[in-house]
Amino acid sequence: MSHILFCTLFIIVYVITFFMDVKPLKSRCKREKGAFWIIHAATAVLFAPMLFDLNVPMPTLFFVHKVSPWLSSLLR
Amino acid sequence: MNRHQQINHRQMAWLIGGVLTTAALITMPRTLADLAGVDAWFSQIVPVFYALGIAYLFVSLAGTFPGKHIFEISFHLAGKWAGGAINLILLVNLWFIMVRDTRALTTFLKTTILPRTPEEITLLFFMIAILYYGRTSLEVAARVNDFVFPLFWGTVLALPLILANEFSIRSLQPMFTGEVWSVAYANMLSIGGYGDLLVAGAFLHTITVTKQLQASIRHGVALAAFALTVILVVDTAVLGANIANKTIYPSYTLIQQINITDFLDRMDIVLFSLWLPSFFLKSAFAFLALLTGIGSFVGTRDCRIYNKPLAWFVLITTILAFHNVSELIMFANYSSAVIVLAIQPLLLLLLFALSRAKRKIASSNGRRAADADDGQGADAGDAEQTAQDRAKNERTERSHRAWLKTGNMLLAACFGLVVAGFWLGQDYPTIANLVGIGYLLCLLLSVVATFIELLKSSRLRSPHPPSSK
Repeated sequence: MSHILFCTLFIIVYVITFFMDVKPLKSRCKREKGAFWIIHAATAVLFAPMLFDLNVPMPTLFFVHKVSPWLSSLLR
Repeated sequence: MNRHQQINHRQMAWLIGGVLTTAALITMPRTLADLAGVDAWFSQIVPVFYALGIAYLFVSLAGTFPGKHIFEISFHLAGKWAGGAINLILLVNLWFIMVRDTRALTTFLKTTILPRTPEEITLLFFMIAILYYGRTSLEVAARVNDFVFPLFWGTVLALPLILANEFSIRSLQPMFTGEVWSVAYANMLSIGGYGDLLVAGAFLHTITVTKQLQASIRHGVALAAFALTVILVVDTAVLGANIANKTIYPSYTLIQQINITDFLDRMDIVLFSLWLPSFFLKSAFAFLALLTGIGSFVGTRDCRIYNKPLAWFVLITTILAFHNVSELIMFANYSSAVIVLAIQPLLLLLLFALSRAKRKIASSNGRRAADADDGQGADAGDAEQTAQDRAKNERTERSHRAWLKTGNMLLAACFGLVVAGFWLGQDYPTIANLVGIGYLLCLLLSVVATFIELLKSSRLRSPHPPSSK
């Protein structure tokens, strides 16, 4: 339930803030527009699997499952 | 964000103090108590030297490129592609810091204060609040920190007094009887928290006098080291090393022990109301640093347009980064040190070497130009006034240097005392106790020395006029 609530709230806030940025974006140069769209695309790509409750391989998980146990065993 | 952001050196010192203290406060004490037992409170001295090393590199780079932050300096020194690659790695490091601290705070809130609120919702509102700081500038966050940090630091320092009725000196003994390697490992893991000094790298342009920048970083590091040491001492003295290494949030358990008479129970709510803004500001500073880094890729310091998309990106990645609290603790307490040691010294030393090489080329070119202009020196009209100014500046500089040396000597004394403690502590318990007291005293005096250094540095003038870029 909390997952659906979060996803709904996030989509609403995301769309509102996106439309708030449309006007100021017009006055920006090409590179700034490019960076803006790249960040938006990355967010959308990561949010899509989250919406369907799918696992996304994040770099933090590599450190959690490989590096931290290795270091922990080394120090003990 | 304002293009010409400026904060003063005291604000920078408090910013660094807050960033470094909050980095280790939530989850770190548990692992330190687990590794080093009763000697966990000696785990801050090596990270202090690491942070001072990073500060030296920052100051050196800022001296060569006044008015520029670390991302601009990187592009300037290494060029478009190599500089871009270095900045990308630094941005990933900043993202790790942001994700770790934001998630640590919301997970902590979920487990302790807001158990019925879904963590994602807390995160969503957290990011909406961060958005406000993203659309203003560092100056606003620094001004809020002016209110928040003294309260945070003051209450941390008041802990031994507030918890005096629960305090047991015996829990801190026997000192220096454990393995020396355990304390060395605890010191190494603590470097993970001090690596958050990278956040300050994104704000190098806000202070144009390099000596002030140096003094502010040193004072911030000393403030953090002392506050964390006090927390670890109180943790061990009140909970004991065995309980401290079994609780997920020893600092929270510690605060729950506060019972000032029968009337002032549940002081944890009051204390966390004072502490939470500091934790929030830490994430805000990391977010502003991320924005600054992204802005450097497109050659602008006005990053308001990326504020909202970046906030949502951080929100989604923070949720996806860890599945549960144990993953977060494993990452924060073990991997942070690996990430910091693998990224920061290497990249910053590379930038330092490049800046030295560039400075050498520039000085040889400058010498040739000076030879050509020989005889056409500056106007001698104001010579007397300049000589007076120079003499005054030299006096201030001498005094500043003396306090810098005093601070260094006190920190070196802390390290020496820990070595002496392990050398003599097992055979002479009284000496071990005296060494422990001496260590705390030297650490406190280093805060005072770096503070005076900060005051002296405020009278020093910039050798370079502030850059307009």
